[in-house]
Amino acid sequence: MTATATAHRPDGRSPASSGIVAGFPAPVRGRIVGRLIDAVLATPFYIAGSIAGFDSVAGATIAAAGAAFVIWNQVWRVARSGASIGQSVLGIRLVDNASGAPLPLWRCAVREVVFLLLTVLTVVTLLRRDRRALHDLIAGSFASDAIAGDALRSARRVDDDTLRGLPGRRRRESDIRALFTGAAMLSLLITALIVFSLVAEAWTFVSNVELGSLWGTQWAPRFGEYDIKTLIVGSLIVTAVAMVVALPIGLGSAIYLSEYARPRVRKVLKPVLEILAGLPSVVVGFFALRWIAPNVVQRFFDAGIFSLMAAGLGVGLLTIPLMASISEDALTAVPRPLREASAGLGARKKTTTSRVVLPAAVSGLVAAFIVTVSRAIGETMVVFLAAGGGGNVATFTADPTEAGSTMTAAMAAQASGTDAVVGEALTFESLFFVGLVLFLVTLGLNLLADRFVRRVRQAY
Amino acid sequence: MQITKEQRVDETSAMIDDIEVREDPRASEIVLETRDLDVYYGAFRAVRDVGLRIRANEITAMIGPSGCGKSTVLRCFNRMNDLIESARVEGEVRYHDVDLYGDKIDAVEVRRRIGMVFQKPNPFPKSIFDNVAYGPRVAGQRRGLDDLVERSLQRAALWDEVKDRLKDSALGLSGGQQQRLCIARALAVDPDVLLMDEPCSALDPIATGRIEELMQEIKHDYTIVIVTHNMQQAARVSDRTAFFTAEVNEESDRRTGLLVEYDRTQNIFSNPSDGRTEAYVTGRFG
Amino acid sequence: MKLGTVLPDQTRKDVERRLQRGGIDFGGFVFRLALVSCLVFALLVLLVLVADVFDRGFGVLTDRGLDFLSAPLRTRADEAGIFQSLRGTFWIGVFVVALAFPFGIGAAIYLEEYAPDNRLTRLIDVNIRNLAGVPSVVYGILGFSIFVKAADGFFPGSVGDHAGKTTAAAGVTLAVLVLPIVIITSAEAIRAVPREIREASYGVGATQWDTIRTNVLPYAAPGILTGTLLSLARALGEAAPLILVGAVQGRLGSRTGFFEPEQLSEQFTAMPITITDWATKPANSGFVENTAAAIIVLLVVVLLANAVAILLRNRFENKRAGR
Ligand SMILES: Nc1ncnc2c1ncn2[C@@H]1O[C@H](COP(=O)(O)OP(=O)(O)OP(=O)(O)O)[C@@H](O)[C@H]1O
Ligand SMILES: [Mg+2]
Repeated sequence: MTATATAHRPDGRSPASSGIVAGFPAPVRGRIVGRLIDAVLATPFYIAGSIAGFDSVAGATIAAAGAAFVIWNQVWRVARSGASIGQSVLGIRLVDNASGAPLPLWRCAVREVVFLLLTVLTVVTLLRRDRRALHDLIAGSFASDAIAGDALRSARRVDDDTLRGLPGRRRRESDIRALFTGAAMLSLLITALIVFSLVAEAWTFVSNVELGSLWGTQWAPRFGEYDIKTLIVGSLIVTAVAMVVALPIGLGSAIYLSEYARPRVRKVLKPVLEILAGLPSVVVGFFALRWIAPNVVQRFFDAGIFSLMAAGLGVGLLTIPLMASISEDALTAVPRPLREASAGLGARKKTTTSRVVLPAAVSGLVAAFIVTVSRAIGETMVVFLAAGGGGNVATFTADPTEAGSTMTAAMAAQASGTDAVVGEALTFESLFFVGLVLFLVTLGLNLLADRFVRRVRQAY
Repeated sequence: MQITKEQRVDETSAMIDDIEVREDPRASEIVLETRDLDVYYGAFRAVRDVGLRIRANEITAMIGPSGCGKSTVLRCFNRMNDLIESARVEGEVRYHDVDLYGDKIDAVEVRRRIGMVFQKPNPFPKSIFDNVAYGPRVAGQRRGLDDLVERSLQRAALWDEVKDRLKDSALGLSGGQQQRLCIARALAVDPDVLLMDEPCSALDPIATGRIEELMQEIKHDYTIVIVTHNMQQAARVSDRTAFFTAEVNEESDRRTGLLVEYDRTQNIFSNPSDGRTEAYVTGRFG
Repeated sequence: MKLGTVLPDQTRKDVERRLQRGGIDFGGFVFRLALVSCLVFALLVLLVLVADVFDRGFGVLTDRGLDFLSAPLRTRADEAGIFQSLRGTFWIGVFVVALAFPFGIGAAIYLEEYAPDNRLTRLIDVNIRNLAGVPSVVYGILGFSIFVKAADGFFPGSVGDHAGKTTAAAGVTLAVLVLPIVIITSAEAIRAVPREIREASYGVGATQWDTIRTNVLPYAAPGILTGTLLSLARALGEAAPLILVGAVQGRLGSRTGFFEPEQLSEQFTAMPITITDWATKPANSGFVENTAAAIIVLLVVVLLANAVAILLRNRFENKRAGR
């Protein structure tokens, strides 16, 4: 079934007007970016190969796979569909210069070889008006603007075939989709690598460590003492102190911003939290050590310059913005009608807030609390600097005014100081063991928080 | 009123045949046709059993109470429903006798031939020129864009108002101008069919009048389908009118839309054959 | 909505009591004051922090000026400078821009525009949000056991204990660290693109990629830029993962220029590392002042990136709202 449209035809779509048989030349920028994409796709092979060493069997295999990929992408694909992945994504179609027909395989190969050998020269010759560079001239090819080419071909005919669209454009769309899919899959790879790098060594530690050395009085891996409770209690103390600061201040700020502050006031006050959120943790660590410790901790307690409390206060400071922003999200998610219903009954703002808004937002607030706890447990540098956690040895203590260490700081401490982690046989592996515990704890907390967040979404 | 599926299918095809019989022999060719069209959003059936034949170079109006599925049906004509993940289409939509939902049919190609103008004017946050040139550009046109933009704006009766500020943002135009810009944008790709979903509902009467005039002018080149809540508008501009309504049916407690009557506009408004149509057009319903 | 079911009984009693009592709402005033003082507290601490750092460090910067920026790490406080640290931080930034930005934005585009609503998508989604919550020191382990080893194999000639503990390994580690943040913020920006714009684009026959490239991304660009800048700032201020990746804390031997790519295959340090190292030196060694001076430099870089991001976002929010 064919129908020809009666409507007027816009000019500029007729091939004759381009003056070149095979269509419009593809823009130079696109051709360069296309090359870049093809190169990026091939780099993982190169990196993997050089890591394995090209003279090893594994390396040679990877190199061969890489070569096969490049030939498939940049020669075979071009001969078959007119474009490598990079070219396809940038809307370039490679055709025979004279006829506009697809290029045979061997000429695609010649073109790529010439390009590889004489890259600089080919780039210079791109200055020609038809953008045919040296390798194009030798292979008799023409890099055409595939999208402009589509316009030339799609007449206003309606039948099964034209409505199917042009294969080039469909392939382009699916190539682009594939690239983005790859980018998203990378996050799964990262998680896999994290788990992999933690679990193997941690397992070595767990299966080889003397159980007795896991329970003692200090965490001193270089001397074979792995009293893990020292670190866990240290982490708990720091987190508890931090939450004493972050919970009320963060929550209070959030309530003020969401319930009370007029838009203009908000616009001035909100950035305070955002700047606080942007402070690097080493800066807060320095502040905790050099200002909070002497001016706050030592003024009220009989403490040394290093103390878990100073570190906890610093971590609290650092986590205020997180607590505030998630709580604020939870509060603003409470539907208006609920507030209005309360206000309509004549309730005061404070009553509405504390009796209606807060209870309604409780799931989100719990999530905020959990996420903040998780962040506090994971904070390293403040403890490293202010709690004395930078040392090699941490003695067990449950007293916040004493020096101590946390899981995070112990890991950093172990990796610093000397260039390589040395000491008893399992010193190195203990690092991974602590890392795994830390990873699992924060993972659990994050998943838990996610639960609560989802409950908020379901409710409204 | 309980109607069984079989009865109803019979009714629909009978209706089409009716029209066919009364058709004058010079009637133009059928551009769009639906057969037993059902559209679902998830499990909810929004419209059922729509049978329509839309003819070339005519203006077809779709009227009916809110929620009866006019937009839903309209959006099937250029596969805009593909953008809604939950939407599912059953039955056939044929365009020049090609099944639009057939195997391997490319929605992009469909939309290049069947353009759409939306209820709320939705110009891109770009210049006036870039708005109109957008469609041809993505279709691969590289030359002659100046001419094309001018011609499209002229067709949409907007050229004189904007010719000195083509580089200005389209968002600076008035609502009526924005809607005509959207029409110009749709015309620039030289479509075969133009779908308009309540194109005047956000406009004042003067702007509405201009768009109605415009539709009359361009209908010789295009086939137009318009959804409208304005009965006078349907009566004024359209050649044929389809009346939809929504009824509670056996399978769910939500109301499912259906096509009640489809005929020449004159007949729908002066001599409807279905009581529901009459009630609606005389204002006793909806 | 039935009010009786929504409001707890308590509230109604409270309201009744209030209505009977009348007068000024003293409790409400105190409540409000308490809330404001939370924010004021945060502001005050911020001011004290900045003042303290400037008080200690500004002298170093004014006395030594460029010398402090261009001198290498040394054991004497009055000679030590942050040249290599700035250089390391610069290159780490390059890695974040070159790796985390394109891959992060790409993943966000996939999740918002392409991903079907299925289990794999939900897995990726949960996974990214969890990655964002993994402590930075754990990324250090990833860097140490994967990227350092990879760099060792990749750069020929780097041998011995330092093998692989290079700028490149550090850069990749931090790029991976902020990747989830880039994805999450970019996805948010893309999600905010109005439906009408997409429909208009598809309606004139644009393909999905046309629509993304010419409409979705330009509209989301300010939001994406804000997110990427914030994550860049985050990366530049990170120390913990760098310690695990083997940043040099004492002296750093070779002294080459700033921009030479050979940097990538050599040992490195960075601003936060130098700050950490100096901060733990004895109080009267002169290094405390140096630390504060280095912090000022780092804050200028990091807070500038933050401030630009916040301003950008506010400006575009206003613009959108004003439309
Ligand atoms: N995206 C969607 N998801 C779920 N249901 C939808 C969606 N869009 C429309 N519906 C439902 O489908 C039915 C028909 O909607 P449609 O928008 O087609 O009606 P309409 O006749 O155009 O109404 P109006 O005159 O108000 O525009 C309604 O019940 C509506 O709630
Ligand atoms: Mg509608």
